[in-house]
Amino acid sequence: MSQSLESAADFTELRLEHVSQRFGTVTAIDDLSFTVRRGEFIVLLGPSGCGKSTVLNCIAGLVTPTSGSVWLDEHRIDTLRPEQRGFGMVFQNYALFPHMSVRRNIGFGLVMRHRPKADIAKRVDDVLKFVQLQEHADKLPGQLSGGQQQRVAIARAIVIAPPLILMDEPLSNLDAKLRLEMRSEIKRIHREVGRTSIYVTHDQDEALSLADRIVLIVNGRACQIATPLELYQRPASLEVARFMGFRNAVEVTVEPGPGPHLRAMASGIKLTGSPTDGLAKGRAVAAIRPDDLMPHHGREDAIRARVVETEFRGRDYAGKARVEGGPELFFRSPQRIDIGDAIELAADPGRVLLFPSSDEKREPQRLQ
Amino acid sequence: MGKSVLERLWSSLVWLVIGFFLINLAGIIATVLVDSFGTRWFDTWLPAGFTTRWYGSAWDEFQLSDVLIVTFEIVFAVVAIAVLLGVPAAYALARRQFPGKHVLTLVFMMPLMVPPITYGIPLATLLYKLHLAGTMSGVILANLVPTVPFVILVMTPFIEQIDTRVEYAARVFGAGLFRTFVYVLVPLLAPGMLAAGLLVLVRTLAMFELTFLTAGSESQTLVVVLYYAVFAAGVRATQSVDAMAIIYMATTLVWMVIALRFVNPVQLVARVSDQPRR
Amino acid sequence: MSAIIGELPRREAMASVNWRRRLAHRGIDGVTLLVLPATISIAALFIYPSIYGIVLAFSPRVGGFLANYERFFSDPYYSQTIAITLEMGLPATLINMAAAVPLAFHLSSMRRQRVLTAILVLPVTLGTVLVAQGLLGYLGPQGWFNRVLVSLHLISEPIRLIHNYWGVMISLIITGFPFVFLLMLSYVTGIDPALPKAAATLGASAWARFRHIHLPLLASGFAMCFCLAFVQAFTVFPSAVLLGQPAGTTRVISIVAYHAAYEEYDYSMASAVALIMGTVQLVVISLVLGVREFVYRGPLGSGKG
Repeated sequence: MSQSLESAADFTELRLEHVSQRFGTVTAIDDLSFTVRRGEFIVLLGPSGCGKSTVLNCIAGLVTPTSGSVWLDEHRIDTLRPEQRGFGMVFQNYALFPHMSVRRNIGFGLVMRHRPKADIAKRVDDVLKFVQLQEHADKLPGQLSGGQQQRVAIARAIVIAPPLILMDEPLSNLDAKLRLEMRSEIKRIHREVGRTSIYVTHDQDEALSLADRIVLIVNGRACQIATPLELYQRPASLEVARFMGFRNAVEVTVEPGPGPHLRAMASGIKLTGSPTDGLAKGRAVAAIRPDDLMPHHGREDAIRARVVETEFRGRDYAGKARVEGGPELFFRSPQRIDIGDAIELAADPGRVLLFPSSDEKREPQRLQ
Repeated sequence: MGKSVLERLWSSLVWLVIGFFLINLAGIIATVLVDSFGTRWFDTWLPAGFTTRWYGSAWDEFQLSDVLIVTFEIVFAVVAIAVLLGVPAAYALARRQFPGKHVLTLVFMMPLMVPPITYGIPLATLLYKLHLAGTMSGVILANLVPTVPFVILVMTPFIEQIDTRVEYAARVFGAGLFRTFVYVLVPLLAPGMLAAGLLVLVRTLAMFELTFLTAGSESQTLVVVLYYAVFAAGVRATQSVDAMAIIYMATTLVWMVIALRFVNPVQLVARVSDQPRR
Repeated sequence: MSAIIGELPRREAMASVNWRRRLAHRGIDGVTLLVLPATISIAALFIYPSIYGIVLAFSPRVGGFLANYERFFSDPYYSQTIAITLEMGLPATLINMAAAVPLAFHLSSMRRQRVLTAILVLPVTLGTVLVAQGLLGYLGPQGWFNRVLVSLHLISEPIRLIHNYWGVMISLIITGFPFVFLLMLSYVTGIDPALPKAAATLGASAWARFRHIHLPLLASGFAMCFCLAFVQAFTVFPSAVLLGQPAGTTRVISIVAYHAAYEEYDYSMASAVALIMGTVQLVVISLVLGVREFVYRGPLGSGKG
């Protein structure tokens, strides 16, 4: 008799332990481990091709990991076929059955579970009301708009009341306005339905807005697992910082400074910043968001540079400036600036992150 | 996705059936091949001895050098004319909506759905009345019937893939229709035309019924000559017939392999665009 | 610049430009005319002969305009051919489809698709004549097939597989299979692969996936494939002659048409037989396509992927 996880509707945690996935010579996932607690909304974030969809497929059972294991509390599930796991999944291109009406699409999972017809009809109707698609119940997917198809896909996943809902970039095929609307929809659904969700996206804004915790995946490895705030303010490595929008990365030399901060110096550059990773002195990279770097006058810490490009953005100006004999930096200015202006840029020490220089070998982190 | 026991059983069954099919297919081909190299073969597992003289004798007996020349003249003529007629037609169908287009498309697809014998007989009758039956021209004309629509069928997805704006750009910069064709369209369509040409070649080599109905003794393609040889096999040594059959198979095989380098096997029978699946 | 301006049409020439513009509006211009050569060829080589054939069929050498048909249906030598051909064409097509569908499925999810496809398509290169010749040797009483069966003690003496119904059937299956397989493969690979995955996550076993997803989506393709394959099988000719008993049990309808044309030189009768052939095919196809009306015929992928 095939096992099924119907009874595990209330679980405490889902664990990936040292999961690796190799396709021939390509390593899609490299020794990935993390834990999802019940009720959490976890986002797997990363650039295209980083393996995040593969992780989701492993959890769903559509792909078997080359090594490692997946656990639901004490049950090992990576040996189960997808139809035995009972998770709900929303696919990137929705994967609605084109020959079935909206009603039949949504009810499909319940039919597979041999529920009585009356029960199915009621649950489908409830869900249709929940996603506001009652008038479209008997249409075929081909007759619906992108946003409506999206909602059918979600409805189909939640009607089976699964312990876990998996979503693979469900918003990436929608236009910008619809994407924002659907994002709030997804938030609302998670709040009201309360199921544990694992969501894959490459869009930072989506991740920051939806997640309880984010797993940042680059090249198949988990670079950081943290809350959105932590990830935004305290990226764990230069790589992560770059991905999260720290566009400026300047090579400096550091030495101890006031309080917990370090002084960072390079030609034409004087900064105070926050160290990461136990950095105390030596060569380092200073990472600063363009929004945090602005022209100031008469500060002790300053970067002397000349403006090479400006762009008017309504609220402020975005600019690019070149340090004499040094790098180009991206910054913002509330006042007008012109090409050729000589300016002094400065940033809050809390917003300047100092990472050890990548020349130094670092231990791959075991993250939890 | 993981497989259940039932799925594995089914899988094995399917492979078994494939294996059976392939073994028998190999046996069939091998029978012909071995016989063509055998001295005498009546009721033993293998022929009494081996020789290559049947190939020589088949070559002379059936005048294969002439037959091959005729075959390729016919086939290449059919390919050339079918492409010359079919590509512009496919282009016009892809780029223009005009009254009667649906009817015309249907008319073009009909020869592909009606089997050759059905229209071959009246066609042969007509060619006979025009004194074209029994000549190479007659055979070529007859073979154009299934091939021109086939070229249209194969070319259509290729043409649809070309962005019309590329053509507009050519026209804006001064190229008339003819020069747009020559400098822009033909180079872009070259892979499609190559595919279409090769497919037409393979299909015409194997096209039996039409050539059979319209050819005279000087204008038979290899496959028709082979048929007559098998038909009269009682009189001739089967070994030389087999030798010719192998020569025929080798000829088609060579072109088939060449064609498969450029073409998805599915295009032999169905309309498929050549886009790789993402 | 002035050189070009000098070349622009003058007022008087505008009248003819108007007429061209009106045509272009309806979609007819120089480009459209490119269909003409092909259209003329098909009209001359297919439409006209077909019409000519139909007219011929109703203008027999002797008797009233239905004389050919009277002769056909009253003489069992002729009328039985319909049944004989159907008895071969229908089963052969069904067997090919039954074999091709599971195979197309398996292959569509494999990686060495092209190589295997090429091998399975090999019989296309062989052609009906070589297959016939090969079968005569291979399936003959002294051929390897019977030999192996005898030496494995599965049968005590050779089974008669050539110069009868079975020889022709086997030939039909071998030569018809590649076509059916390739066509079904193109249909199966046309199904969005995410659909069975979605079904699996919703709890559908392999069989349930086949039944609820693949079967309905392929039903329309099945019907088309059956029609095309049946049409090919119904007009079997060289195999029936070489591997069968053309005068007897495997006297298929195309043989009779050929006989009328080239042995009796009665082109009218031949055309009549060809017409009957076409009609029977049309009836079968209409039946199958009629069923197809009740089945999903839309795109095989979903959503705005």
